[in-house]
Amino acid sequence: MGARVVYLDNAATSWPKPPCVAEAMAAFLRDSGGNPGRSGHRLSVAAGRVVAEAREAAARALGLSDPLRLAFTANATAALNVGIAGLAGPGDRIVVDAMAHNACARPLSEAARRGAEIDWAPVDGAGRLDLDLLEDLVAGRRGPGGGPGRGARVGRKAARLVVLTHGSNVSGALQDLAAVATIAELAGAVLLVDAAQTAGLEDIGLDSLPGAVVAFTGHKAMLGPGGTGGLAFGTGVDPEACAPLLRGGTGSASESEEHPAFMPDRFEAGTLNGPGLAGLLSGLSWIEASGRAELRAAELRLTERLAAGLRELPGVQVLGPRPGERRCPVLSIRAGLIDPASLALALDERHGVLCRVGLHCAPRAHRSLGTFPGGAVRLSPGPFLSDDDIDYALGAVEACLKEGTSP
Amino acid sequence: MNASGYILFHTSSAAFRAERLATRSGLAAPRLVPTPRELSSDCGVCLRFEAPASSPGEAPGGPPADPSGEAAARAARVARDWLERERIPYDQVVAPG
Ligand SMILES: Cc1ncc(COP(=O)(O)O)c(C=O)c1O
Repeated sequence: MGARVVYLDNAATSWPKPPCVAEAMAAFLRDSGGNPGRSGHRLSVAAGRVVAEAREAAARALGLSDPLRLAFTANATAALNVGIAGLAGPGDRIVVDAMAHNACARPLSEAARRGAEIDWAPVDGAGRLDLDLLEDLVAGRRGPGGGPGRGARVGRKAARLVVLTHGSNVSGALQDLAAVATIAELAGAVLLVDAAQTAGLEDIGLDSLPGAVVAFTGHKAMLGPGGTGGLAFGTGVDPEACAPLLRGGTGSASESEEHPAFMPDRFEAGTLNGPGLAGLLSGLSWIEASGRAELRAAELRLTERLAAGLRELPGVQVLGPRPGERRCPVLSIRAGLIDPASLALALDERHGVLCRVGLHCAPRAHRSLGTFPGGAVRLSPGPFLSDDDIDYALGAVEACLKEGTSP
Repeated sequence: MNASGYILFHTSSAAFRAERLATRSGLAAPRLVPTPRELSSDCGVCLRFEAPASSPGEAPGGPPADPSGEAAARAARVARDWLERERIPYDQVVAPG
């Protein structure tokens, strides 16, 4: 096989990054090497400006007009941990969709140990939420599962927190954010959005979702490096009502041994990832220059092309939304009895087609889709792929299925 | 003859936000500078602006440009109104003088 590589694992992390990203990171290390927000000298100020520009750009990407409502964290996982621990407590009821990633599920298990009540909102075989069931569950009119017997449980208290996987990292199902936000708002619940797969590509419109808090990661659709992400608060949620998980130095209020309550320092204890945020700013700037809507349309077209080609292959089952339905550029397949891991290995070794197998850190999602515990092969296009790359990958899958995947 | 006023912030993130929006503040010569030592705030940077001086400067002779301090008070008000308008949280505005 030639040296061709077709990277179809952008849902894990986007690659390649726009060339300007690595350049911006190198320039930060070379030219603005101070600690952002810690000193008044020129190198600290230069670093602080880069972080501030990254904050502005990340807020714009989320549709948030006040960047000071956005705090940077190490990744989406860190942000989700803060949101889940800080926005609900013992005795509160939390509703979460059954496509959740472990970045939500595991902190929720911990919340349950501490006395919160967790209800899982069911999804269909493609991973789409049933909004009527969700509404009843959030309002406390129905128990989890939604069956007639359980539905009879009336008079439960309304949920305090709703946790939503905006875009599934397994099936690519994209939930109706505005509708879920309305459901949460009607019940007086805060909506915590796991936008790990969508932030940077989808329109989040946080200004129009006052009751929402959005957790995002910088290294996927935002095209930044690993180690970047954040938590952004809608205008109706008071960040001071959400306790931080880390406390420490912020370069502010240094006379006090109490951690500051104000944003964004509240959630930014310790030195920020300056080089990473320089890269994130560069990735976001590249997206703005290219046009987010155009990039999204192009990636969705590639995803539909891939899905259509895969559906033609005998024995291949494509999981997730049907053609033309609302989705993000992620899909998973099963190929009859063929072990996903051996298919992925053959795709990599024989054809240079890179994808991810297994449970994708989302066991609940695979249960929902009927692919637990075997898992599936996930293929996720990115902004630097062409029709020809997709057709090449389709040819590779077809060849592996024909030839068999044993070594 | 000008004197400097200062906007102090709780966090440098707010100072950088203010720097970015300063062109529409109506303030004269707004500039991000290290916080002067005599002004208590430790975020490292603050936003400096200018107004006519209300007391004679170092240079001997000439009378102050703003003897009643009116221009300085007005500049401080412009600063506060702008900060409120942009919803930039701040610690305090130190009027020029
Ligand atoms: C849906 C979803 N949520 C959360 C995460 C966690 O993101 P990170 O690893 O950047 O914290 C991921 C990706 O790994 C994801 O796909």
